[in-house]
Amino acid sequence: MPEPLLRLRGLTKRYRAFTLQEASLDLPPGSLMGLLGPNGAGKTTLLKAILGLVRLDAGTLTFQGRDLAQHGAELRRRIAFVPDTPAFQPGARLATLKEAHAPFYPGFDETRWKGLMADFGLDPRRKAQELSLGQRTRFALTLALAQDWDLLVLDEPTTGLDPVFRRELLQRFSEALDERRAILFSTHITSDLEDRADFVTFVRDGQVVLSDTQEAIKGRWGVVKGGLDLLDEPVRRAFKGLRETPHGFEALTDNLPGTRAHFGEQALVERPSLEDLLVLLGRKAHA
Amino acid sequence: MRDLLRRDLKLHKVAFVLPAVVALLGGLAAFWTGEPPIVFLVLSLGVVLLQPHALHLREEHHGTLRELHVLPVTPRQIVGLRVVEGLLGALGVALLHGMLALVLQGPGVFQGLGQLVSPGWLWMLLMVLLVPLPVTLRWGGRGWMGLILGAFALGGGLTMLGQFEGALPFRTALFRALLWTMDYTTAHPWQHTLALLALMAACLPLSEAALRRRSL
Repeated sequence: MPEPLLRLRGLTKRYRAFTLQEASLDLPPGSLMGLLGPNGAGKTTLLKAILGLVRLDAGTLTFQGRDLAQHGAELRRRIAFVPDTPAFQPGARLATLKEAHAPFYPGFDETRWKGLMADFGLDPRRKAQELSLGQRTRFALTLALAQDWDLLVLDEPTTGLDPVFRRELLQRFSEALDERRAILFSTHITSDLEDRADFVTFVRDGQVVLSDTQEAIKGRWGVVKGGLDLLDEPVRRAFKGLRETPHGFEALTDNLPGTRAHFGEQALVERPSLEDLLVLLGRKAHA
Repeated sequence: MRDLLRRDLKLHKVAFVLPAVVALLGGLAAFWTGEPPIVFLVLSLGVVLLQPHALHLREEHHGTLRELHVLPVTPRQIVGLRVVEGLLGALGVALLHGMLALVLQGPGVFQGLGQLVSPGWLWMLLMVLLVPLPVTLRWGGRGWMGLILGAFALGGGLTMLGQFEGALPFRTALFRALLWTMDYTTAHPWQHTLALLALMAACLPLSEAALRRRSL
């Protein structure tokens, strides 16, 4: 595996009601990593930590092998960011907002920005206050994609976008990747990442519970569906997530071949979708 | 720094108009009322030195503070931006007032340059811009609410103290110390100015530390 473009080790941020606990992950160049988790799991806090928007209680962040805490201002020139709810000065025109933003990013490509504005159906003369949430997100995307970025950080960028545009956008992300670039994409819309993300990281209750290649996850993990009579204490404990209903159970295993061998024809054992993983991962037994 | 200043000029045009209007009105008021221009200049400077705080709070109000912090700039540069905005604003207002006074009231309206180099300006710069700056950068609007409430509480407390003269054992010593400081600094302008400059310099790293502690 190449040297990670972004490396997080033991990131901890304590709030009164929530703690991001010792989050670690590696993002290699040339890859798209999906950051999945339910609302309030800690995805945004993790992204904010990368962008220097929160003061960490512990942990280290390196980008291109350099400490982000020490060289943040310099390194952030190579990081583009699209927030979940982009905010702009209401009275400013889009062209003005671009003029205020572009000088901070040496490789900002004016021609590409104009092309993106046209492609995304945005008029530079419009004022920020006239835009809907979806249009604000589109505008934030034009600014980010016109930068000469090495890391593109996206915080739920497809929320509020129509399905047609969303599909086009995801295609653009895939095309924008090359051997020096990587994308970190936070979402809870799992279909955006299915078969598209090289790596998937699951965050739950402030913890990174799983981070691996999508291929490895789907090769090793499985969803088990069967009757309640199959559940006993050792089986419950072996599952990584379990949901019981009056009619049966649905569980997650990190040992697909072993589970198939154990249950045989008694239970349905299949490869999980990302949604299965999102729903079941970390869900406590007896829940 | 230059890019940050340009950014603010582009994004906060309306906010920059206010100090100019205040300066203009102050200059005209000096002419109409016949009061010394320095009185209105002091008032205008007070408003202008609040302007960097207002800009930061405006960013907070519009939810764009996060965008400012994500930019590839250091916290020190953001502190520098606010200080420079205050200094440039003060300079602009002083020039505007001076020009208006000269045009409307003729030469000789300022009774000597001594007025213009008064340590009072440094006090204004310190108390209006620099001392509250860490509060603005760390707590934003909430910090200002705290400052205003704190000022009221302090005012109220001092008023109450007057009614209990001699009742508190520390009061005499505290007030003596305060009076001695005031006497000393008035009698020793150089030490006074140096002490003020030292206090001003101390506010800058404090502001930077405050900004680093802010989570958005």
